[in-house]
Amino acid sequence: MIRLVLRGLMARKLRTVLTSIAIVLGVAMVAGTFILTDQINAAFDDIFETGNSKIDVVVSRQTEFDTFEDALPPLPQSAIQQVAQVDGVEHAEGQIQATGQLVVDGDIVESEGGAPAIVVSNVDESINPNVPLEGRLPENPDEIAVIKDTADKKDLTVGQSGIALATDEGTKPVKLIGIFRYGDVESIGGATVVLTTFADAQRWFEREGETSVVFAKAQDGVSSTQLRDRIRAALPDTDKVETATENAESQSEDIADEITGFLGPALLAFAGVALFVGAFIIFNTFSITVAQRVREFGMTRTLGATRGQVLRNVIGEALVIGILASIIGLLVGIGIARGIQALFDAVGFGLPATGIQIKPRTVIVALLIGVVVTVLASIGPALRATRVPPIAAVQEGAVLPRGRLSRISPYLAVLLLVAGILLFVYALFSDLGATEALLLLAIGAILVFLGVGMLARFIVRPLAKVIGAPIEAAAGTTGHIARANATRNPARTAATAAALMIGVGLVTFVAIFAQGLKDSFTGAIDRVIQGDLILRTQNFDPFPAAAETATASVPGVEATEFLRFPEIRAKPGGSQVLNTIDPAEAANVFNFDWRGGASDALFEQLGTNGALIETNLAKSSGLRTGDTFTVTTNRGNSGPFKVLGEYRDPVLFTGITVSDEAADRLDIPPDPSVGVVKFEPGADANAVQREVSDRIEQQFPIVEVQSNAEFKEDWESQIDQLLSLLYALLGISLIISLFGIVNALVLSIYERTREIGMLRAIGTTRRQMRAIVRYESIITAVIGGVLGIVIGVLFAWILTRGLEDQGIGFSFPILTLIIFLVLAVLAGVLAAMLPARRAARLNPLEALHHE
Amino acid sequence: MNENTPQPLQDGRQGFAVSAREVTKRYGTGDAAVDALRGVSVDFPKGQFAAVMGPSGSGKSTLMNILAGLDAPTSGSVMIDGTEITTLKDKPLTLLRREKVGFVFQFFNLLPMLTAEENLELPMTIAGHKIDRAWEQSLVSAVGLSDRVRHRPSELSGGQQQRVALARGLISRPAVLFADEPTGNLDSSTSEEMLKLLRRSVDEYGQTIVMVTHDGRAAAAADRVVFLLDGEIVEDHGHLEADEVYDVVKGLEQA
Repeated sequence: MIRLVLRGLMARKLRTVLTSIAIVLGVAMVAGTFILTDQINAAFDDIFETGNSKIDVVVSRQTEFDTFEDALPPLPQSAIQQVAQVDGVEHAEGQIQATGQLVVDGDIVESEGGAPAIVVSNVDESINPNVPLEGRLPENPDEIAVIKDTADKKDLTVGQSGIALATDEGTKPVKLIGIFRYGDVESIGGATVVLTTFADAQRWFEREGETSVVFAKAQDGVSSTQLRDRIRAALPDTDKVETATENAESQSEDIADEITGFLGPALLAFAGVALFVGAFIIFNTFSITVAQRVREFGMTRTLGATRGQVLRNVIGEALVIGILASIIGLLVGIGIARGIQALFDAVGFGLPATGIQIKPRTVIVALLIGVVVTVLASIGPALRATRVPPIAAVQEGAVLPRGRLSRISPYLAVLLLVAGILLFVYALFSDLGATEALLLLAIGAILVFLGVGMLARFIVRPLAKVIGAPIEAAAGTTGHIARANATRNPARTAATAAALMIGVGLVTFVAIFAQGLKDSFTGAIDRVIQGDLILRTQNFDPFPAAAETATASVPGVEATEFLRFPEIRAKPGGSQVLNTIDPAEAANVFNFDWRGGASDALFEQLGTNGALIETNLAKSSGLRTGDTFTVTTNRGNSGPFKVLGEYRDPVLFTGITVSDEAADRLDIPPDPSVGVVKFEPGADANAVQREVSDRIEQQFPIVEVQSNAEFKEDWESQIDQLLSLLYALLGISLIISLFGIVNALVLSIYERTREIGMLRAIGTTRRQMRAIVRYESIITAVIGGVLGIVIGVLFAWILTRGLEDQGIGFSFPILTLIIFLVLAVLAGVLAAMLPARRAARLNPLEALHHE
Repeated sequence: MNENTPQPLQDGRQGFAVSAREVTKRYGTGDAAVDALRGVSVDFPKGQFAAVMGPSGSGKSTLMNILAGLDAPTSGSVMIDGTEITTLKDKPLTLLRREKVGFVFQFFNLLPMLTAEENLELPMTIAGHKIDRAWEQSLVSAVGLSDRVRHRPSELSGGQQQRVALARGLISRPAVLFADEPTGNLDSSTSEEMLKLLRRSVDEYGQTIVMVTHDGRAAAAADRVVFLLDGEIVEDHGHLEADEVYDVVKGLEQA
């Protein structure tokens, strides 16, 4: 039995290979995702374990909730002394942890991808993970040392001049007195790392009288846990006391949650799409080959094979293909992991990663998924094969009996389609959590794709007629034969096209949605911002507050508004953004879309406990003008606020808007995330911008100064980068569906060998033969493209309706869609290359005598 | 039987529809080599209906495939309508087949997704030639398919399909029509009709036909019957009746 299966597969090598590819790539994406996220997690584990390798206990400030901000709320410096006095502490020392860029000859040293620019203060050798390679570590004022990787980026040498550090007080000239490694490594995930003295770091990063953490080393005979418990008893509850191991783990987990917790599921979703497309192709291939083997099945039945044996034969083939493809997919996954990492690097999200990590979980899940998907997709065709009667063995042109479900399948398809759309709509318009909503959206999309895929065979003929019309007009008979070939087995063409439809549908959806994101943001900037310049850092990280004073004094600047928007918890309202504004200038710089009789006059009334709320928050929390609510910050400070009015701005000022004074009262760090600068009327815009840029870039090199137009362009190009990342990830599904077209064409050509022999005999040239195959491929691909675009537009339309409250609108990027159609044509041409060559190469004489 | 030995060949081969000289075909090499044709020379004048007969393995199909430009001889020369074809590359050979050669196959070989009319027009449309509608009309009515041209092959009987195939073979007015067992897949009465149609195309349109068959009654429709044995032409007759054909075959089998 197994030998029969293996022989069958060997005899149809090309088909087996092409079929396997459909699964290989899907499995590779699953495996690649696991491998990559494991690599990233392991990298962070390494980083934090190294950092804490020589200490026993870490003390930091307890936070109310985790936010995406990287600055740790500080402890009072006195905590160091308190820890030092605990019994069993050998050594206690504070460390300042901050962000600040190294500046060499006026230029920032960029970290790789999204890695941070780390500044930490130096600690005693006995607990220091850093080992000097050249020079020494900082001891005196203005001395710094950098990690080897950072030094290498600019070929820095100890004692070199022109070195400075971007601090909260502006750029400080410093002395480079050492280059070090971190534990055993010379790079921390591409981050720039600068060591300073404790006192310098306190002064430069507004930490006077404070420390970010306290490290403690235990005396001999005292365990880490013992020391942790003793220190915990000696410190207030607001301090978080962990053993070094716990601390390393929790830090690593926090970061991993931020990166891989999002990345893993996202990548797995793309892998799921690839597998879904692969399943279509497996189903189609098995359907075709089962149809081609009707006589063989009839023959085995006459020889006494039971239906069960026929079923096991076909499913056995699927099983072997599934296993082989999954093993190959696992290996390809290593390459995919590297590929995805390179892809993220290319669009500016660098990810640190260790060497290849293949955990048992990766192997098991990848193999299981590959095999299960393959076998599931083959069950339908296998069941049909069992319905072949023995008599088929002797019938010329025996065809596969109709499946049991074929009569109800159109109704089932409509049912799936309707259910899918309803799920999609339900997910968007009901109050579900993000995870549940996304899951329902995904299931809805799968049902829609399945339904359309099943219904497609009823519209293949008319579609092929329309799509084939220009080809037939231009190419005549070859075009006509191609079109006729494409429609002679509508179910096959439909399934082949459906695989492509899925990829094109998602690409279309993403393209339209991205356009909506761009339009909503640029539209909001145009509507709300009445300033002329925007100041910010690349990732909207907070930057030194001193940048505002530096800007305000530039001649020609009329007003400045520097905004903070920390994440806070509102009660009622939950997690929200707290926008802080300067009430004196707000009316001048912003143009709020007031609701319910509110007006600019409210800015002046904000005081220290007035709040303006966005309509979405009003809707979700039930807060109305006159109501009071509580705001709690990350550091645990809280205070009551009274709603003064409502405005609508789902893009820039989401959540709550309060005055700077109110934020200061809550002890929210003064560093702004965005600055808006308005020029005096009649000022020379170019000249003022140049002056602001000059001052800011010199003092605060991480801050970018952009005109509104530049800012919008920047935003659009960031969306475009994200878009190209998504395109690349969806590209794998598109490649799989191309192989599906190749596979179907190869199988069809095999079936039509004798026809090809006849055509060649009566004077069809090889070139014409290739054209016939190519046109059929193009027609199939464009059917997939058209169906995909229609579905993608539909999805995007529903989704944008659902997100109207978030200010995202529907657009119809006709040019993009035309490009997609042209690409579908090219895909058809590409997919036809190998099959067309095979068809043209057939020896007419042998082809004519093909059984 | 002197007049029935291979006919003396003439020098001016240009005038023949098909002319072969010393055609050999060897399959394989060394000890395993098989000579399918051992130096066949034969001319088919224009307007002749010739049947090629011989037992299985005599090389008759190989000869036809080589004469039709579907297969290349190991050595020798083949001319179709005055053009040497053994030296042609695939493209010019294909174009020559397109212009000069018609085919009728045992298994009809119609494209199932095209109508009868589209099928019979294929040699013209593939070549991008204008179809002579009057000629097409007369062919369609001659093969008795006037009311079935819009049907697909699956809606036609075997005899009707073969008549479409015949019309397809004739539509381009080829210099020679090769028919490979054209009645091999038909019952006796439809075979009869088919042979009559082949005969008529020779008599009325002056069509040259070379037909490979092992059906004596089919051979009896021809003007000439050439017998092959072991890759050589062993007998070459004028018109023979069916029982005469069987006599020759019997004689060959005993030899």
